Amino acid sequence: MSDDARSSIRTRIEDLIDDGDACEIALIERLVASFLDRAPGLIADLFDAVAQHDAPAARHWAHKLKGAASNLGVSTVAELSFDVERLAAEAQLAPIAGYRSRIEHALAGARVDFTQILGELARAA
Amino acid sequence: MSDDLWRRASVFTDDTPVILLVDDEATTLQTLSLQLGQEFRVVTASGGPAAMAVLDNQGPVAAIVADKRMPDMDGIELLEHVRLRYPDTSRVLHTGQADLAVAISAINSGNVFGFLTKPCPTRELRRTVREAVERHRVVAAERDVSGRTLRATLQALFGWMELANPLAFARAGRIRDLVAALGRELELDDVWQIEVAAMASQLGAVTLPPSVLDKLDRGLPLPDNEQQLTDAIPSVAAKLLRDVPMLEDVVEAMRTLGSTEDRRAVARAQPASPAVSLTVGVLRAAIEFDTLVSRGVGTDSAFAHLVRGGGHSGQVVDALRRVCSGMDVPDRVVHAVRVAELEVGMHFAEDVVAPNGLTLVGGGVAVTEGIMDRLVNFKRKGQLTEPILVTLPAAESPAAEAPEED
Repeated sequence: MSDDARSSIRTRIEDLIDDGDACEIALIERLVASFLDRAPGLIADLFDAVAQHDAPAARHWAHKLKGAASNLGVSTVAELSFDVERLAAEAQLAPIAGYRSRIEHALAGARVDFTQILGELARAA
Repeated sequence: MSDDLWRRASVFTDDTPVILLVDDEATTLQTLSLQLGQEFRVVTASGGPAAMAVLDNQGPVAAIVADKRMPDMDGIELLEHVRLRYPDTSRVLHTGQADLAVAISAINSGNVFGFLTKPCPTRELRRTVREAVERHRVVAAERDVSGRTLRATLQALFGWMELANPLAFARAGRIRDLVAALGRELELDDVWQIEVAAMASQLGAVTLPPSVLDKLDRGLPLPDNEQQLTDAIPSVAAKLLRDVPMLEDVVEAMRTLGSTEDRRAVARAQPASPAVSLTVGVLRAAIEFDTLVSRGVGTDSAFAHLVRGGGHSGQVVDALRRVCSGMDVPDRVVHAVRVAELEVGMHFAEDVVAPNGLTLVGGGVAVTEGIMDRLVNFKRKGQLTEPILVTLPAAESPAAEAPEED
């Protein structure tokens, strides 16, 4: 993934750290794991809603995905979700379909970035 | 996932502020808990209805941080509910960039203390929540001082009125003692408001002719025209107290209890709040019970009448029954005492009447310092005949002694 994307995640994770001890890093690892566990389900719900031509539901799931991603600094997923949310708000569902692979790709990149960043932090703790 | 996962090993005391975080996105809630959990006791809710349930079950919190966009109830609506029901709780809106205009509008209209944008940096989040908690502390402290001042002022007012018109306030005092015990039995918040409502409910009794007051005190049936006068008593109190801050619920209760016109006006305006409904329910039961007992009806028959007549909450009547059975336990013993022997804690066993027929104190009223002063003054003027009959709980009663002769 891009340096910007990795930098965004690193900035957010570092913001969440107080002491940087092993216990705190473990808590953040669980937070990240919680997000990475939930995100695929949110993506699935989003595109299920698109498949059913349910624009309000699509907007809802896109908003949730955006919030969850931006919460941990995953700017790539957050920005794509924001685009989808905006399109869904305008009931333009057709262009949304093309976003699925881009969002999944961005999430996969974030997973790699998280692993790298948390590994560095754990070694430093 | 348990919120405990995100709680650091902090040492909390009873003074550690409690904050409520509300968001329908679990990871956001977990992150906020992580950011704030070291400094505050964190409670979380996944939506507006759940947040209100938390507040209703666990009591008010120092501050609430609510997401703007949530299904069922959005953040603005939730914070408005919180403002109405828990006005001291500081309210913070957590929102994305897209909703900034809404957040600023909410602040300008006074509905929220502040807002935070997502994702909120930890330093800014903690600073805003600290400020919100501090604002809550200041407001609560001011309210506490105001409340104590108001209570002491009302106590002085009612004490003075008890002296000025013993007949009118003997009954009010009995009802106040009864609702205070009921409030404790029902574990109600703000029992003082119900006590004030009990006294206020009889403020208007000063407008009644003495003959009606006497019948009222003895629980005697009243003809229609006198009953109308009596029914209007709470409305008089509502007019007298309507501009007193912090007595809004008491005034609404008086209007609900009061004349038909007032009741209709209240019903038209909006349904009574749960607190007012409860106050009115407790007062109605206490007033009716006192009327029956004053008429000489036994307590068991009085309870049966309350149940048979309907219109009273079973919970209130059951509590009344428990209160009265509790009251029966410490049997009161009648003593004949001189004015100089009166003590706070005694109750007058019967009306204290001056030789000219003026009622100085109503029967059943508790002895207070003000009443003692009044009786001392009448005694000095030779307008009081001793001994006076008072009651004391049997356990506190000294061995019966005959009062000394003058």
